[in-house]
Formats: sequence, C-alpha cells, structure tokens
Amino acid sequence: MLYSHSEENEKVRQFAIFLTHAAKGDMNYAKFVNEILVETHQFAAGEKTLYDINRDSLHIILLLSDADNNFFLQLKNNPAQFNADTYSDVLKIIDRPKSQNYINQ
Amino acid sequence: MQSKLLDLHFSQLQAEWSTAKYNNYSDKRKQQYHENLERIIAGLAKEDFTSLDDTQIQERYWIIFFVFKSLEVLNHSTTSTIPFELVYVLELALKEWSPGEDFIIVTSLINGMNDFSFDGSLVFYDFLYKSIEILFDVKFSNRLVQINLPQSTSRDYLANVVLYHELGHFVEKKFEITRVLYIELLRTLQTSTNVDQKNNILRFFPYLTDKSLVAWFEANYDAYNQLAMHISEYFCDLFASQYIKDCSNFYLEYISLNQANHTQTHPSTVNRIIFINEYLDGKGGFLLEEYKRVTKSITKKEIQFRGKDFSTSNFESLIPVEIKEPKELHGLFIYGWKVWLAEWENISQKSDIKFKLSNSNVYSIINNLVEKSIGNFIIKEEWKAAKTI
Repeated sequence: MLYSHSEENEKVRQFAIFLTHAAKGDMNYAKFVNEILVETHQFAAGEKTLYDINRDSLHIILLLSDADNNFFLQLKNNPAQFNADTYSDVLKIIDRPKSQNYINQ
Repeated sequence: MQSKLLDLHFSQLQAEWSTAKYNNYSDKRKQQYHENLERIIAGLAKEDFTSLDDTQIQERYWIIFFVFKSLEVLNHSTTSTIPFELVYVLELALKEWSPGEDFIIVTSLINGMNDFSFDGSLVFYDFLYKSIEILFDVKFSNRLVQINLPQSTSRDYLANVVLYHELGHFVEKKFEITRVLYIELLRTLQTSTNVDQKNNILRFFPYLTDKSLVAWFEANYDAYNQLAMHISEYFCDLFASQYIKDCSNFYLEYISLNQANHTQTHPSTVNRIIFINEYLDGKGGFLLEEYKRVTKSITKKEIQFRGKDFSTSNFESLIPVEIKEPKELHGLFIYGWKVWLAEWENISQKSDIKFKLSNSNVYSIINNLVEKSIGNFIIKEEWKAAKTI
C-alpha cells in the first residue's frame, strides 16, 4: 500500500484544512469549525458526554480535549468571539507531538 | 510540483469518467448521485490548479479521491451487476438504524472467496461533503454505504448472512459505539471493584489480564488497534444475530476453522460463538449488558431480535415463501440455512422428486427460492406503491 489511510486520521486532516481556511478568515469554513470548538468546550466542561456529542466529530473532540483540556475549558462558548488566533491555536494543538502520535499510529 | 500532481490525479479521474459517465442505474437515487459527480468534475475542470495553495490542493485531493471512490462502487452497482434482492433486504435493516437519513447500499464485487468487508470512505466524512458544497455548490441528499463481497458468491444467500455483520460495522462506526465501549471497558478494568464484571470482560479479551497492556490501550486508542477491532467484531456479531440469529456462526465457524486463538484483527472464533449463543440463550454477563447499554444510550435502540419467525415447508415443496411483512424477509436467511442443514430427503419427499438430490441441486433450489421470495415481495410492494399514486 502506497499510503496508509484510516478514517479517523483522515477526518483530522480534513478538519485541519477547515481550520486553515478559517484562520485566513473564510467564514464558510469557520462556521463548521465553530460547531466543533463549541462542542469540545462543552465536553471539556462536562456539559456534554461521550453519549451525546456529535457522532461524526467525536474523534476530533476527544483528540482536542485530550491534547489540551484547559484550552477548551477556557474557550468561550460563543463563536462570535473566536478569531484567527483561536483557529491558529487549535492548529498548533493538533500539531503537538501527542496529537501527532494519535493521528499517525 | 503539487499542482502538477493534482493535474495527474484529475486526469486519471477524467479517464475513468470517460467510460463511467454512461453507467445506467436501476435506482433513481444513484442516478442523482451520478449527476452530482458530473457537476463536481465540471467544477474541477474549470479551476486553474496552478493558482491554488497547499491547503486548497489537499482539499481537491480529497474531493477527487471521493469522486473516484464513488465511481468505483457505482460501476459495480449498475442494472446488470448488483445483487438487487440482497441489497433490498440489507437496506431495510439499515433504515431501522438511520431512519432520518438516506443511505444507499452499494456493493463492490471482489475476487476473493471470503472477502466480505465494509468501507466507510463514502459515508463518514462530513467535512468532505461540506467542502464540496462550499466549492461547487453540490449537495448530496444521500450517501453510499459500501459493502464488499465476493463476486463468485454474490447471489449466495447462505454465505451472505455475513453481510449483516458487515452492516453492523456501518452502524458501530456511524454511532461510534466501539469508541465508547473501548473507553468504558478499560475504565471498568482500571477502576471497578467488581471482580465478576472484570472477569467477564477478561473472558472475552483474555490478553487484558496484562495490566500494562490495559494502560497502553488506554493511552493509545486507534480504530485499528487490537482491542478496538475486537470490540467492533463482537458488536457486529451481536448486530447480525438480531436479524439472522446464529446463522452467521455456521459459516464463520467453517471459514475461520473455528479458531481458538485470537488474531490481531479478530477475537477467537470460539469466543465469538460463545458470546452470540449466550445472547441468543438469554444468558449473557456484564460484557453483553454493556454492549446493550451503550448501544441503547447512543442509538436509543434496543439490541433485540428484529426479524420475524415463520413456519413453512414451501422450500421443501419447491415454491417461494409468501412474505407478508418486511421483518419476515430476514427470516428467509434463517429458513434457507434450516433447509440446508436438514435432511435433503425432506425436499425429495415433499416435492415428489424420484432421484437423489445432489448438494448443487439443493444449493440452487435454496438460493433461487430465497431470491424469488424476496423478488415477489418487492414486486408486490411496488404494485402497492403504484396504486397509491
């Protein structure tokens, strides 16, 4: 096999594409990213559980909260307050070694 | 460099499309899907790839991959190749687990005798569908659920009971059931003081007696690690048994040579069969209850028998079964196996056949009659629908 794919890794890579567009100010992409960031905050704060978070985003939400729970705890619950820095910070969290191990296993 | 490779990828797609664009489908939904692919290809053709940055190139890579993959399975799902009756019954089961969504089961016919599998590449990437919508204003009203099955047995209704197991993979991935069970079972092993609960888990995952391995799995989840794969296999067996009871055990036991040891990808066949038989006999322990609880908490659906038993000797008399309601369609597979495993003299006596039936005679009889029974039901449903128009 030329390149190993797993559905979950691919989801994270596609999420990173959306984050990059959002960091450049493209609201078409940012609105989808915002939904995930808000839900990750809710999961980190205990407002949502394994059983009621969006199923398609579950892997990303667990990855993000596992990589930096504090960041998402402190994140505002209001997407209107997210900006390019927010998206860039999330991209950095995905790029950290722990997340990379998670993605590349 | 990158844009040249994207050019190459797109050229490969255009070459594939030059023949695939003439595909004919029996299902209007597939035709609509095909038209969406055409619009995406037209959109890509208008783009200047040299003006795209790396992120935009990656985005197109995924989209071309998606169109390619869609064509690959649609090419196997044209009017002449699809095992239509089989897909009809599987779609009924699928609708029970995703009533608000429109999925189309597509089959990919493989050249391997036991190569049954599920491929979620076309279902689970919400971001990809959103990208396509943003870039090309194309919205898909349905998604393709791809099930791979051996070409040589695509119309074998005995072997194909294992497709209920493959459908289980769609359900467990759609709802992330395996992921939640993975967390919950490891949590029980790490923190519970209930020895019976732990022992029941260890009975089916014996390698978890190694505490360092439990800690490793906890820190290193991956859908393709051994524990995650084993959890999903047990779920899919359970899922299938809701429709075809223990019928997939017969085939599984044979093709896996009733393997007593687990492999990287599958639990031991012996344990899989014990797990299902205990469920069917109403004797399961903590592990089974966890599977039921987690499934219900996420999907709001019970793990329970979802077919309907019927009593008949029609096949022995060489006539199809008159199916009265959709649930009975699942029972046809159980009945087919019952006839196969019984004494074949029953058929000779009931149908007044004077010669000794060979195995290939009985094989053809069962497969033809299961297919005919499903086919008759479909025709009746279509008539009913036509009358109401």
